Amino acid sequence: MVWFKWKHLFIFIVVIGFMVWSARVTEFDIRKFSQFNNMVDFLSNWFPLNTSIIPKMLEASLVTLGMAFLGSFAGLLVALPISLLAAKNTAGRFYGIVRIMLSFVRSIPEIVLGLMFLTVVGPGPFAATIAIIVHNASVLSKLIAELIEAADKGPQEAMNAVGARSLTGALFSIFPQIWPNVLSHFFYRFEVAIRTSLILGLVGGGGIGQQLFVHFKTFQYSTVAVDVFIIMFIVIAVDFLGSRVRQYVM
Amino acid sequence: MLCNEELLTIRNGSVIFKSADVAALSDVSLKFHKGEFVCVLGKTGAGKSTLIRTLNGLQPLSEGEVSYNKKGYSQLDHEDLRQIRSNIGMIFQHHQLIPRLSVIQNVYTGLFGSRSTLRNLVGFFTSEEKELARDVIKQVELLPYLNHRVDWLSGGQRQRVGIARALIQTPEVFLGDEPVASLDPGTANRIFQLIERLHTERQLLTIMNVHDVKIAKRYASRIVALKEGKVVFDDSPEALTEDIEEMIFAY
Repeated sequence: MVWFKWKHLFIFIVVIGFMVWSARVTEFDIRKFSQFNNMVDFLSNWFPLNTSIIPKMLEASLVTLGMAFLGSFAGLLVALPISLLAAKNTAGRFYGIVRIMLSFVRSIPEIVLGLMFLTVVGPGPFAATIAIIVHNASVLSKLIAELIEAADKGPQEAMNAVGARSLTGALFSIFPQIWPNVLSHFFYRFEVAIRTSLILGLVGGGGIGQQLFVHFKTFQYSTVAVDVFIIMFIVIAVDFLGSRVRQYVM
Repeated sequence: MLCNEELLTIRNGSVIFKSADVAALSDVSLKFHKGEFVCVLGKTGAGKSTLIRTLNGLQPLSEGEVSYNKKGYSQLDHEDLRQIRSNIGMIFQHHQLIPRLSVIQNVYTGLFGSRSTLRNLVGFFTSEEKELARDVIKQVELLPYLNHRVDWLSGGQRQRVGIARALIQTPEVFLGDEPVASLDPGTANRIFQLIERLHTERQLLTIMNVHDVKIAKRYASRIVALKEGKVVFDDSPEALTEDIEEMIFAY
């Protein structure tokens, strides 16, 4: 009993109880898998693939890629200065209010943001991109602020000691050391933004997400299959690109 | 003592940390003069780091006053204190270099205290400043590593970069917080030889924390010993007898 305490047993029981409760509300029931044939039927409708649609879908997927990249990168540009105001060690008196604002923005689901901007700029990729920018700016601000808080204090002290002004000192002592992790977060958010832009397709956000939704609703399963494969390819490609860039920036 | 010009003083200085009930420094009064090479001795927790940090204002005093050229820190605003710090070079046990930047980039950061924010952010350096940077890197014998990243250098080399960053400030005072505590004895001696040479060439006031009595006796012109935040010895290295040494490090 060196490693365990009675408290741990109690926590374990509570967590198991929570799992049982979650299974009940989600109607989690392994026995329902007896209807597995339905999925086989469904997936068999996917083939042969409707290859004639590929050029058009590639075009749509570029729109998706553009939405995701602009959405995450512009989000990063907005997040960099905000993160300084959201980290305990650099924000000063702004810390509390900026943190509250960030969690407020973050709590708005992207699909709601999309619907809101859609009423202003009309349906299409522009509204979706704005929604992704706003959401990513708030998420990345929080993530980068946490990197700033965890950064090694040594260089910051050294910059104080040479008499640097606080902004210069903070920028130079913090950003070089957290840069690889900032990129890591960015590439992850880029990947998430691709999935988000698919969901925003549901509300007329354009791109391949909207195509997928339309094809699905009109039972064109052999076209749906093409959409899904292209989406998988983009996500894997972005993940691969991200890991290469992270390898390079150490 | 070569000169008697009083440069840096701490008068009745005390530092009390809220988290601990013991004073890190208690009622310390010391005068430091231009040209002195002071080693501060003491065991871990004796208040050496706190003393060094009060001297450039990184650590404010709870009571008492530190003054530089007769200017008391408590009377100064942030901007004036910043100006003073830009005249005080400091090196650290863990170098406190900026990782992922090169040797010369790290050395340039030593100039941040004396230049405008815009110039620092853009990274515009005059040809004199560029020459100065090369010159100080040459003095610490790191010219071949000019564009190497500092996190790829050895501990001794990193401390040389730290010294170069302090030198480019063209400081009057050179502070060190255990600069050789993480180095092997051979490298530690070479670093102190370098510090001694620069000290003599530039007529600095040098104040270095060490816990190695041999190094203190070999390089210092004056030894100050702290115990439980109080000054228990302040004299020439010759006056440091074995009995006093034992008292300083006793529990």
